[in-house]
Amino acid sequence: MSYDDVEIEDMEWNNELQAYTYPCPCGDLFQITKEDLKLGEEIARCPSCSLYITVVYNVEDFLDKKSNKPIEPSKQQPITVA
Amino acid sequence: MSRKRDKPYFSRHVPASASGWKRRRPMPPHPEPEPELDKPTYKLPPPPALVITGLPPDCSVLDLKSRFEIYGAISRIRIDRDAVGYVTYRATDSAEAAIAASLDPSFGITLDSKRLQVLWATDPLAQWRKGVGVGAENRDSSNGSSSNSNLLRAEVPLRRHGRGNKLASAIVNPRVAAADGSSVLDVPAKAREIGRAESIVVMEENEEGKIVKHEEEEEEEEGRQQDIWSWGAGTDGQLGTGRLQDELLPQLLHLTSLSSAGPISFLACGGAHVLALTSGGKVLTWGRGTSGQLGHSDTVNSPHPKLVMSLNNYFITHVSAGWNHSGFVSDTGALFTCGDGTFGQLGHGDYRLHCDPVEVSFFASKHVEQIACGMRHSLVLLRGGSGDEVYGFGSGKRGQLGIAKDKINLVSLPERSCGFEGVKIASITANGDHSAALSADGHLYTWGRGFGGTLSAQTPQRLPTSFCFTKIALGWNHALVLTGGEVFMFGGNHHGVLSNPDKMTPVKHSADSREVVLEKVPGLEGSRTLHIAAGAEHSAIVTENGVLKTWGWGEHGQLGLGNISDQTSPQELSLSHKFQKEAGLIEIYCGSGFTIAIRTSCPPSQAG
Repeated sequence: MSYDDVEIEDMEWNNELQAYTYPCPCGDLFQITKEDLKLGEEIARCPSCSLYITVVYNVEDFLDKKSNKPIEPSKQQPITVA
Repeated sequence: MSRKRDKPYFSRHVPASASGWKRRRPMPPHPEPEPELDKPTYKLPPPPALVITGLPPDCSVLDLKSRFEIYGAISRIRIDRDAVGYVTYRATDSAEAAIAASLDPSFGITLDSKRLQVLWATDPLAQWRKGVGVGAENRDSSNGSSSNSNLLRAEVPLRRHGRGNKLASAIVNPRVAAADGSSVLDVPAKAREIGRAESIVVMEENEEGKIVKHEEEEEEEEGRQQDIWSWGAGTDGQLGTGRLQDELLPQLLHLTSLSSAGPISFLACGGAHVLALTSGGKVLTWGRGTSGQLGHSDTVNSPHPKLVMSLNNYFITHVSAGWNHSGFVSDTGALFTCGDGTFGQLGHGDYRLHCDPVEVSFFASKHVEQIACGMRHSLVLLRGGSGDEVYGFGSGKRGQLGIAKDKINLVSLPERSCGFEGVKIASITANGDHSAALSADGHLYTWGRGFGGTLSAQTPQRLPTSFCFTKIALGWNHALVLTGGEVFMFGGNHHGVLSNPDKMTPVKHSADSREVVLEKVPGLEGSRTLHIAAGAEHSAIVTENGVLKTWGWGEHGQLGLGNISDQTSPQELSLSHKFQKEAGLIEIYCGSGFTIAIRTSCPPSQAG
């Protein structure tokens, strides 16, 4: 069962992991990559434990538009997705 | 308790210009020049000192401390051989709260189910009990006016027997000194340091004696054996074991950096880092440091405790650890934050990370009392001239800042939370997207994300119940509250069944979906609970008999039971068989996926 439902705008882009992340209660991070999102994957997993969350987002926001990255995440600001 | 700080208090504020004084607590009117000490004066503002009678015969100082510290920070505590206790708080509010609690007809303050009488030390009844003239011992203090300028009034002698026999205590009130800024500078540096460190020093008839007595106190403090145990998720070094691995059983920490820093008085455990506050006002940190939350000027993990050097010039009185950020409050009421600032949770007006504690300038002219750090937000408790105030900053999407009825995404500068006008706040707490405050009269306010499927609250909501709460611990989806030695939980419908969703109980809704449902934690009958702590998804309590129990999510060993099973009801846990039978006091702290216990054993002279 999903630990929580989290909107993509509440997830943070992590440059090092190249993934959107959200805090996991174990101390690690739930993670999901852009590639996963493009494929319509909605489960973000924690590499350290059995828990996972359901990511709430619009697949269309992540589909390639003329091969440009759909979102340019900033390093400092929380990610906001239209 | 009483410990000198190593460095002069003013080292960061030298020269002591006007800005050096701005953090002082609000000053009461300058009191009359020192009244004649040989007759008691009740006109001066009473020092927050209390006399406790009716103690159980085997009551230890630690028992007394754990019972009374819930009303506020204690600067001094002792029990004389007549089983009369003396508790001096840092703040008058705390003492008032203790008095009020003791007068509560339905609960009162009890120890070992004995009801205690709590009186102001200035109460004529308390003084009559001791049969000692107030201030008599201080009359012939002939060491000149310097210390007298700090001396507000003498107190009831702390002990009639034993070590403190020939001593009298005196309250050194920094407010008095502050009101006369020039005279405080005349006070010898040493005396000033001591006065600032604890507000209270024990004085003998001369200056020499004062120092001697003070050092005796230090020895007493260090004579206590303190051992620290950690277990649970450990891959970021948060267990302080030096190993980057989970531990399913309590691990005793063998750390010279910890023992040399002096006894730990308080721990704050965050997402994967730990802040340890020593009784000397120093801070050690360890665990995940990738956002600068350890305050070590870098962004790397530290598997061992390390002193936060940049706070060395301050006497830190309160700390809090969020998911990836940290807050520190000094005795001067200054707030420092470091770590992840992505959501504005550091309060500096930007969204940057800071890897050294930086003073939050918004509070520069205010007196911060407490900080509480949640996942992405922070709360601050202020003691102001016009009453207590709570401020919030950081992420506010779930209403956890409590600053407006409308939804607020995030703020990077502190804003005042609504709904506390005229309320005396004893403590604030934050974890996950939850916020909570306990009022001095035992009311619980919560705001932020709802518990157990209830709606979020944008502003603080008082729990509609007749219970008088003394402590609260917040997880990410649940909360524990302590009332009259009993533990209740709310929002715990999937507490202890995370890895087995089939066992999940349906969300309990009351008629009003905003209302939380309090449920008594089963399996704790027969013994009162003293301490509660909550991790993201696990819980821990300590009973008055020193029994430690844990339950909730156990996948990383955070329950310390030697396995990774979840538990729906409290399970007894032993730190070590060797120590099981020794007298001692356990304090418990939970980080997101880990747990730390501090066990303080009393030297034989104090144990009973």
